[in-house]
Amino acid sequence: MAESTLVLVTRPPYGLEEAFAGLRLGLAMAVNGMKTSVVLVEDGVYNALVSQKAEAVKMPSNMDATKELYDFDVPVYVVKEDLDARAIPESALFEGLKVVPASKVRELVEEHSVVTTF
Amino acid sequence: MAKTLTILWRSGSMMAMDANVASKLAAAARAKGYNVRMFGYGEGVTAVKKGQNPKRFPNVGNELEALGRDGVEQAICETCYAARGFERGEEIPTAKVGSLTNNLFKFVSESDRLVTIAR
Repeated sequence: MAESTLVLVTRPPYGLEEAFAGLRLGLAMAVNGMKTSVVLVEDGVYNALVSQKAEAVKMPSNMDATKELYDFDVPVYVVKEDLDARAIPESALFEGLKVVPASKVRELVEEHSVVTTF
Repeated sequence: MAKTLTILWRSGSMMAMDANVASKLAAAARAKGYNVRMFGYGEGVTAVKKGQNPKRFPNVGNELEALGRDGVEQAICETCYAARGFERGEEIPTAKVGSLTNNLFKFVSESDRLVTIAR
């Protein structure tokens, strides 16, 4: 039986519901006590920008949705190679995120019972 | 002991075959003896609307209902359902209007495998 869930967020915030939906799924697993991790990968790294302004499009904030995961000790990783490919410096990210090399994702996949992608 | 598969689908009833693929996968897994659970999230909730009439295309609502009668437990995200203007009672009788926190968590925690179907 599954004891842990890894959520891969591959889509940017806003314009698509996917990233927010993935963050909410992660929260739902974590509040039940399941070990849960989230990875922002590919265009999903745009969710990590501190400069995002959800109010401009009258949408719920993906930054707030990410930080709510911290309350349940859910680690949120950001793939460095995908930041570099998009010329996003680590200084542009909000606090609490863990920037990791892409090789770490392979380890995380192996460490979790199930993986779901958004 | 039979293994358990959860299928999480996030595409709607039309414009893509994803929901049909999800139902075919569920049927194939059932045929191999798996316990199967299905959870509709996001646009996926539209696939459980009863009374669909797609004419030329497969009727995914009917497919899901048949799976439900074959023992495939089904639930959808109530928040997503309400957001799209649906009300309880508009869904096929085999689908439960539930939540990520209760239903999906239970499905996943009791499963050996999770398959996500989306685009």
